[in-house]
Amino acid sequence: MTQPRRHTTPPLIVMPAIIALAIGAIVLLIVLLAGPDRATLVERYAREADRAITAGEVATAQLCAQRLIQLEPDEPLHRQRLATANAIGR
Amino acid sequence: MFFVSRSTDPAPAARGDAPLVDAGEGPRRPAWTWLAVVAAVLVGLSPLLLPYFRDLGQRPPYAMYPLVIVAAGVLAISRLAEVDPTHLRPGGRWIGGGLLGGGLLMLVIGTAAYVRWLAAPATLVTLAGIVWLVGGRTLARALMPAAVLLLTIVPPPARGETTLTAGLQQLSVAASSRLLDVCGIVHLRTGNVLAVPGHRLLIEEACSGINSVVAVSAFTILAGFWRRRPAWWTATLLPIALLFVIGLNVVRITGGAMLLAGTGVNLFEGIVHEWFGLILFACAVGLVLGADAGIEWLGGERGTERGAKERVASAPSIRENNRPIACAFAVLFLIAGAWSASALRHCWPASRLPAVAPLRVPTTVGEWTLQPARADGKDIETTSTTARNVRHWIYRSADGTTAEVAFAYPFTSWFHDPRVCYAAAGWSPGPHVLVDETAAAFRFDMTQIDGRHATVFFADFAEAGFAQHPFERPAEGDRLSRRLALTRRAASYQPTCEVQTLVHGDGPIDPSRCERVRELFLIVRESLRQQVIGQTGGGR
Repeated sequence: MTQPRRHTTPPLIVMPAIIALAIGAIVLLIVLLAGPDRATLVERYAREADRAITAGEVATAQLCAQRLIQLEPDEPLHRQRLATANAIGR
Repeated sequence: MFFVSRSTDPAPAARGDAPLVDAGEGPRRPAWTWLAVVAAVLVGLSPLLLPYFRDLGQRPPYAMYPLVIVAAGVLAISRLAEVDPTHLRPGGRWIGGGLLGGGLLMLVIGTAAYVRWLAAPATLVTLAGIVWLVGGRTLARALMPAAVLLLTIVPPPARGETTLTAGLQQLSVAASSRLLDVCGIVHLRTGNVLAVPGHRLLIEEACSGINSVVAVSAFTILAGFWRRRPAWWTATLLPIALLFVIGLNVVRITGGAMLLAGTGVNLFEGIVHEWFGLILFACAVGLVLGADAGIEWLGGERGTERGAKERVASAPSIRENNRPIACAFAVLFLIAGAWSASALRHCWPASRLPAVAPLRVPTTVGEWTLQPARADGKDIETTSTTARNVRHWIYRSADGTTAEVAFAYPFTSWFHDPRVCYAAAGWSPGPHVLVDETAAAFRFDMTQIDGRHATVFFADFAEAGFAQHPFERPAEGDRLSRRLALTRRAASYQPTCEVQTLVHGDGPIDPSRCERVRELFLIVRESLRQQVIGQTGGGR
């Protein structure tokens, strides 16, 4: 026996699932459409790496340099940043 | 529970009536005959089934299999209570016999080929055959949900789930990395490692929540059957459930990395890590139930009422007496089981080393000194392994060189090549070369994209003490015989431990340093080997 029923507002138990799906969809759209591209990431990490090197924040400088090498493996300037950060660390 | 009768009375007998007396077969026979048949086939299957479950329990995604079996039992009992036993009609003996024969054949093949995975389909097919012989289509339909639920704890053959879990793991980490980029959090992703300034997170299977995928899938299927949802309903709910699991774990990884970067609080260690896993599982279950209610709210038809009796509409026809064939197969299963027990008695030996084995390494080894446990939070390259139990130690030499030693165990089915683990952590490992014949010790070099180098020494030895060498695929024979040789080798593989020693630097490791690390490695390895022999009794 089937009992189709429909209410105008969803029951309370449904709300978390609806909210989770909605948030997930929104985040996915943001990531796909508004996420930073490679050039933006390079600029961001280069700026952060230089700031960290100046401030003596070794871990941050090393990590930023490593990320830059990952983004642009053929750019010698990034390896130079990493060498500078390693030298500060020693 | 239920009875099988050969009534010639066309009127359906109500439950609770006096037992029918049939001129052809005599009084009703209790179900103990069928229970004895089930017991006999399970005993026959046990030499292959027990190693299967022991292996299943060691695979994290399937560690909850006892709960699934209990849930399937509860589901089966609830459905059986709705079946009117007087309307059960035994199925045809050809189909039932064919299923039993198929199960028996799988038992024989699994034993001959040392493939314990076949125990699962053999058991399901055999039980399906018995169900068919007892109650035909009606009973099979009633117990189908329990069978489908049990399928969730049958992993893909040849450890196929590792490919799936590795893919989901990488997806979770990649998605988290992307989210961290959107949020502007400085981080580095190499393989399954997420690094934030000063900290490294190795996103293992447990951290990525991949272990929850199987559990949540089983729960979704159980909920679908329990609530009498149509097949399309559960089929729609299943991918939604997987999305919830993956999404929750991406949130966990991303949030954990952000918290670590901002405050230094690490949610991926210790008891907090375990509790978070349970909380995530509970949230996923709650969301699945919500999605289920949501589909219902959107106008989905509810399932059939509970308690509706399954009735056979057609008139009674010639009834099958399937007991003889069932009993014959029961005897065959017992014979096959005895042979299987004899053939497999030395296969798949279990590890004797406890999870928290009291192991100690030398405090000093030449110029090397054992360091206290890492409590300073400094960024140290860690050895990588997928073993259930791992111990770590750090040695430091007079010139400041740091060498990390790891002891991982148990490996029970195959020679473990740690290069796979390091590749998953973002390293590019080179080929391994033998550095000590007696210890079967190997060395390989590896690099990271940012120019970091590392050298790893590793050696495997069985708990009995002898060195384990990498498997060499047999070169002779046809494909089948080569395959059988490999499965036989895997079945006889002794529980194995692995010792690793890693040294890293900003450039290639110079040969003199490598040699000193090699000497440290061999001494520590021998010390651990002697302790393992002492704790496991050595030899078998």
